Amino acid sequence: MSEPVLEVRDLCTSFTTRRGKLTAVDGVDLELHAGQTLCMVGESGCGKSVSALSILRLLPEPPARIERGQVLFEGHDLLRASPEALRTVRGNRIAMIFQEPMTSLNPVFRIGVQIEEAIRVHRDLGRTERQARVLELLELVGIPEPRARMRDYPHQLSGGMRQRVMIAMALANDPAVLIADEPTTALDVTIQAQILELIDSLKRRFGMAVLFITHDLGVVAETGQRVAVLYAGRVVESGSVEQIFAAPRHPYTRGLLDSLPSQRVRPGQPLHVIGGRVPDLAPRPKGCSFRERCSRALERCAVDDPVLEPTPAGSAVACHNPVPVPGARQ
Amino acid sequence: MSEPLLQVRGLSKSFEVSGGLGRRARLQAVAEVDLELAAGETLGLVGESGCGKSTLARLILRLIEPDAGEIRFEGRDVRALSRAELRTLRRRMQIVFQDPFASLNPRMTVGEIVGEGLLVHRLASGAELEKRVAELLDTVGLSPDQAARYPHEFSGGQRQRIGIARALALEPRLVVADEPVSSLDVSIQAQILNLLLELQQRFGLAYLFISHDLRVVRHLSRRVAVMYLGRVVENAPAERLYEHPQHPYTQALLSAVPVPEPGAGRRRIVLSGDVPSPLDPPSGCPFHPRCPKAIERCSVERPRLREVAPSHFSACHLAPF
Repeated sequence: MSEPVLEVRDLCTSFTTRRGKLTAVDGVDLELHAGQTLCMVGESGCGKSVSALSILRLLPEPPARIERGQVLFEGHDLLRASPEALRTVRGNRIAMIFQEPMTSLNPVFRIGVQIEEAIRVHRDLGRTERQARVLELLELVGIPEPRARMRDYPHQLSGGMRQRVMIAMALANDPAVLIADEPTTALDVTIQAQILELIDSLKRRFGMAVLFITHDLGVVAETGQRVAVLYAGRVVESGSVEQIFAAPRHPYTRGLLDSLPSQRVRPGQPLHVIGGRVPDLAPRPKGCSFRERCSRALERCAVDDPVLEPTPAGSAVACHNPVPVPGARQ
Repeated sequence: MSEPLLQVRGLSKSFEVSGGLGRRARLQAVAEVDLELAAGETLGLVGESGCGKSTLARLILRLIEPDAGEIRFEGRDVRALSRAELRTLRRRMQIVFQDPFASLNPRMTVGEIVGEGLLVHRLASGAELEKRVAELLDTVGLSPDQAARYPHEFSGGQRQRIGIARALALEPRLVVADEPVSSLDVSIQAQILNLLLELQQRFGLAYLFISHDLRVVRHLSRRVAVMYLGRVVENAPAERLYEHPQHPYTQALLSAVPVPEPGAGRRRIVLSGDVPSPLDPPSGCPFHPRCPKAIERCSVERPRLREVAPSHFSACHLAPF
């Protein structure tokens, strides 16, 4: 495979809380490739948003603290970059969109002005050139009558249109990487379908690397090429979308897939349930953090922390007793 | 077939809202809705934000007063009831809300929340109340000794269990569940869905199950009604609706749901544009501006809900497909 555009190595982010230090992200590795979407999937609190925000150093420090790790991008380690260097990367070479476009847009400025601002900060263009670029961007993301919409305030647009504006703003400076943090979670399914399609077509057209954060396995299957499944601040399984869905090796991934109402479960029949709940991470329990909810747990899981190891199929799993591959001999 | 538990005919509600710049406008939230629900069964109600599904639920419970239409519950005309009669009736119809954080009073203990209905209706007090609350908590999978705790001490899934225990306290026959699992993680969602199914079997509950998640609705419902801009556009047995949708909106909605199977190779019908404003609904069929199949007639004449296959209703001029 080609060289990754962005590489996260052993990222570890903690927060100072009243109950002590909480390690929200604990040794996450990720690789983003041009023209590919990596989906980061997991339930609330698994560390997926914190990982993404750490990449761009967008967390308030303190209470957050990046304990260790590297974020390698275009020859630099972003975790060691100066504030000035970071500013030239953010919203420029690496752009980010969020779940709730209403809170990410400034309500008192026209959307045209806000997109223009994103261009002005990073590029030395004249006013007319900037405005031409704004128009081009709004057309690119499929906003009808862009010339009129430029003059709208965020509240005059629907949720789907606001997310398009956010995407236009993110694309303003031709980013190499787009980080999308649950960008369709607040949208209705028919609008979600439009936005997913849009992100996918832009990714292909501009060869961006996309880091797509979601809790919806359906969205993963439709938009991702690669997946990283997070649990309690760690990647527990990663691989191609086909591998993870066809033959999940980590019991947590298996459980997540089985707990979805799908064609495989008859309506009205009980769904598979992952018992218990996510452990408290302040402090992190010893051993595998999934073991108390795991039906395949061994004695070893209580003492020995599993690390992400490659499987023969080319994926990676952090488990001492992974789910066997269907059809394979034990 | 025996008389349905709940029968709704021509139910409508509009609200006056500010149209901006001091203008007043009327928003037709629910228009001429007909529904039926048999005892012990589940009717799923799906649609996107603003389609009127939550308003419809509140109209049925008379938490909001309808403008027109008829609601019959256990054969009685709900709209004709006096306040006192309505209060008695409410014991038989309960609601579970979406947000388990906003729907539980943070100043009350779990025991007080679950037991409040029993106290208000003077059905239990003292030691008997305590015993009943303990039973209810046990029924929904919580430990009875958690009764003295406050809602903030519980996770989202546990709070939803508390909300369900509260709804069950008065032994209802109908539970309106308004997006009960939408704010929960998948692993917790499965737990709550299983609980709802188990309680239905055990107590013969009927559910009006409202959700925007079509997968979840399919799993629970015997029949499903699809709403668009305040109207029911399709109503059919669940299997029929999912396998042979007879309204272009339902077809688009089903095709838009992301399926957790990579390369499922489906053709997604991506609708153009947004849902039109309910303040200014389109002429004719409310769906025609976004409909890939619309013909001229659709912009002039509003299609009525009609039976296009046995027990399968669609409000589309072109159905059956």
